[in-house]
Amino acid sequence: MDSVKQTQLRMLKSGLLLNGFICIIALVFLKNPINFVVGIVFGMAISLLNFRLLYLTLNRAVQMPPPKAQAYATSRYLLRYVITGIVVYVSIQADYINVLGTIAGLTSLKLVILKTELFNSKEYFKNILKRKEER
Amino acid sequence: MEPITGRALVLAASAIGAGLAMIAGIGPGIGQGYAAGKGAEGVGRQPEAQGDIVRTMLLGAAVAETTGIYGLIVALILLFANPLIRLL
Repeated sequence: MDSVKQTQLRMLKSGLLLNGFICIIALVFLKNPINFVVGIVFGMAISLLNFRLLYLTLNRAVQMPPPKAQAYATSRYLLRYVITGIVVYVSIQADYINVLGTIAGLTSLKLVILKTELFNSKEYFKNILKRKEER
Repeated sequence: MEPITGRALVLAASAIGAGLAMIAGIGPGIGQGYAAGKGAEGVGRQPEAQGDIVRTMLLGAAVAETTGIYGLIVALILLFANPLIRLL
């Protein structure tokens, strides 16, 4: 199993790759792609910083007594939630940022995690329609 | 008494909808706190497994947090960039 640092680096690289791909598609197909690209960059930056903040929170929480860790993790979650709320509000109000781009940037991390950690086994997809006895 | 206009009705319903959408933000908070408490218990029981515990919790919490963000986005769009007003 990878270390936590390696996992974070992999998430960073995969996130940049996915969002770069989305940016290229936007540049080719959209009429006004700059606003969308700015939104994606904005959302992705906040998403990756939130991910780092989540790591720092959890790393500290596991060294606390369980009831204190619970309260600490929940309070930090609310802090990240407020930050995300401010980001979405700013992107709604600002004319030069496309809100759909920001949303795509914010939620792209989930897709990256699902792709790299959950759906990363080719064997699983090969055997998905086979019965357990046939494998 | 003035009659209720369609615009006022849509705005009122949007505000109620935004409030209901924000309920989605509570679940991940409770879940993350619960997971962090159990993670702390696990690290206390087996300190050498801290890296694996934090890594698993990190990925799970990041995926769970996105669900709350969806609710937040729906609420903020209903409040500040309501697409239903244009349909009137």
